[in-house]
Order: sequence, then structure tokens, then C-alpha cells
Amino acid sequence: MVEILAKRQGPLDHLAGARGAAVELSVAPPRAKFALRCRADAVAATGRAFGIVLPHEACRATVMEDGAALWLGPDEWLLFAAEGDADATAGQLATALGGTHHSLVDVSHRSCGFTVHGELAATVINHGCPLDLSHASFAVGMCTRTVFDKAEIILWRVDKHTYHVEIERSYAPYVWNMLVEAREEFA
Amino acid sequence: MKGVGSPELSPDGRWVAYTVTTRVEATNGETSEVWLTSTTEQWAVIAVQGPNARKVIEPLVSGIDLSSSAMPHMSMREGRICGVPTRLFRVSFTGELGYEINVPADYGRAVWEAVYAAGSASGIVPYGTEAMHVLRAEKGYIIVGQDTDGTATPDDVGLGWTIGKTKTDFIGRRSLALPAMTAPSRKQLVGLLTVNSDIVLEEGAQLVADPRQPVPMSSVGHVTSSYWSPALQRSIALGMVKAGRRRVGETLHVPMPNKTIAVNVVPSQLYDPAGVRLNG
Repeated sequence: MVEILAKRQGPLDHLAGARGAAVELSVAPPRAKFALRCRADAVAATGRAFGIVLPHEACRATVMEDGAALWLGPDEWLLFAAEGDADATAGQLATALGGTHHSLVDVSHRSCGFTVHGELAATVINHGCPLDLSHASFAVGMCTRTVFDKAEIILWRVDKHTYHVEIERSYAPYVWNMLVEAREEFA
Repeated sequence: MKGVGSPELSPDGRWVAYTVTTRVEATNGETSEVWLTSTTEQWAVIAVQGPNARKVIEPLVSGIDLSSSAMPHMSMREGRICGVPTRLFRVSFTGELGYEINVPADYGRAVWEAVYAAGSASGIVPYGTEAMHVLRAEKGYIIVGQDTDGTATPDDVGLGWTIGKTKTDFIGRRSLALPAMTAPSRKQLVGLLTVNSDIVLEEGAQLVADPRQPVPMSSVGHVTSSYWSPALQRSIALGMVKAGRRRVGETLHVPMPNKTIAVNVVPSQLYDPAGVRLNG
């Protein structure tokens, strides 16, 4: 294993002043991320290899320890694993998927994640996202690809007052700053 | 998949540049399902260009033989730089020996800084698009949309060699075979050198064969790119000229409001046409 001498620098690392407000924004640590496209015949084996059952129900995420599997479409999942496990996870997934028709792409650096936490989190997110975030429509454990203002995001309700936002890196400071702006009203 | 292009896959199958999301019907009637995944944001890219490019990056790279015999121009290798996984391209839009270092994007800043530090003894400098435009024009490398418009064919700009002659069909093959697309009088990419080397032509200026003809004159082409070339210590230009490749050696004229500028038609590669620097 070659020692990595270069330091990771995420698109949100230089932004400060996120804490201490009515709604708290926190940058999520880097994780291994994979875009998976496959058919139903590959889902069960892939889930076993990944250690997490791939959700079959629309817009649902399953979580285990550092990992998660987010349903984004009938043949599409976004997989999260611990950062250090990227190579091993990729190998296990590729083995499980071998022989099936699939696309597995390492997108660990394509996007970054952050959480929006607080009793007013949904209100602040609704500043730029038109989804009905009531519990009846967007319960804990649900996730979806949606928009925030002009950017595409993946929104995942982690618990009652915490949402994970996954955003492609070049749009990340924009969405982050729009949320900082939106929460000012409730400071 | 049959009859459609394959996505770019690394040997271990992990990295896919693009897969395609639609149901593809090949010419033989079979269908394939393929998926598209954008990796544009996954990668940061650093172009390191110049005669010292190999010397500068070599100490940072592991697992890749950078020698010209092992890694020639237009090749790609996978290995590590600063310990980080890289897709290293040996490509050049400058005409110099050059590499484009692709690394997972969070490492882009750190690798840039390491390359910059490694190059300080060689006088490394960041360069912007204006410098790049001059460098590429010296080599006759076109910018699609500046040197070309929607009417230019690959052959018009000297890239007919990129078309697969043995392919029985591809999208656009019929169009390229139309009489108008193969007419010898079509505008073709050439180099233009002013007789007075101090004069930098205006981009967009028209070219005429006979400057004494009455107005409105009959144009034979136009200037598409024009710069002062520090490497050649003279003005340079590219243009699209009717039957241009047959006119190499001729003198044409650029009528301007108060003067007429004489230009010699030359091949479009103005600097290092043999590619000695590129392939060094």
C-alpha cells in the first residue's frame, strides 16, 4: 500500500460559521461512494456482498454502521461505505455483480455530503426545495433526488430533525451558502 | 454490446468514463441496455506542459514508466501520483511534451501544489487560456467554434485521417460523401504568415486573391485565429481558405480600410511541424 502524501480537500472545507445557529450545518466526513445500476437479478447478491440489503421500495435508504444504500430509481442505487474500505468494497461488489448486466462507478469524490439539523431544518430546506417534507410524505429513512434552488441534490431524512444533503462538488458551496442565508431568518 | 461503442473501462473494471442510459438498437437489430454515469465532477485535471514536464512529475509518480518509449504521446496509464490514484494522460494542446494528471477531485489542490513545488527549480508557471491559445495556434491545433463553424468537415481542417475508411456505416457517413462535401474548392485550414512579420492580422478579416479588383471583392477565405508568437518572434495566423492546401506557396491579400496586407499561405503547423518537441 503506497502512502498517500496528498491531503484531501473538500469543496466545503473553507466555509466556516456553520454552527451555533437555529439550524446547524455540518460537513459529513469523506466516504467511499458508488453509483450502481443493475437489474433485479443482481440486487440480492450485491446486497449480500455489500453487507446492506439494497432497498427495493422507492425512495428508501438502508443503513448499517458506516455504510448506506440509497434507492434512487428502479435500477439505481447510491452506495456509501467507509472511506478506507473503498478498494475492498469495490472488489466485493464487482465480484458479486460479475456476470450480470450492471454499471458500478466509483464516485467518491464527485459529490460531498453535509447534514442540516434542527427543529426548523425542513423549513430551511424548503427555502430552496419544493418537496413536501412532512412526516407523512417524507418519513425518516426516505431519500430522493430533488432540487435545491438551481442545483440537483440528493436529500435523505436521517432522523426527525436531520437531513443529509448530497451535492455534486462544484455546486456544494452554492447550496451550503443558500442554506446559511435561509436559516438567518430564524437565528 | 454489438454495433455500439463501449464505455472506457480500466483493467479492473472500476472506472467507467461514460456508460449510456438508453436502450440502443444496433444496426443488426439487436438491442443493448447500457447506463450513463457522469464522472465529470469525480476528477480534477492538471495539465503539465513543457520540455521539463516529465522531469518535474517523475519524482511524484509511482507505478508508471514515463519514458517516451513506454508512454508515448496520446497514451494513458494508471498508477499513483503523490500516493493518490491517477489516470495519467500524455496529451498536449500546446505542442510541447505534456501530461494531464487526473486525480480524484479532493486531491486536486494538494497534487497541484506538489507539482508546482517540484517545478520551481525549472521555473514552472501557471498558464491561462490566452497563453494556451497562442501555443495551440503555433501548432495549428484548431479550436472548434473559432477556427471552424458548423460547415467544416474533418477533411477541411486536415483531420480526414480520423475517419475510419473501412467502416461500412456510421452517423454522418452519407453526408461526408455528398458532392458538396468533397468539392476541391471547399475552404480548408491553412497557416497565414504576413509578409511584414510585425503585422498581426485581425481575426475575421477576409482574404482575396487580387487586391486591385473592384469592390465588392470576391473573398477566397478568412482569418480564424491571429496572434503574436513569442516562440517564432513574428505574427502568426490560421485561416480557412478555398482550396487552401493547394494554395500553399501563394500570396493572398487582406484588404483593410486604409491598407492591404500581403500574406503567404503556408501549412497550418507553424511551430515544430515534425513534432520533435511533442514526442520528446
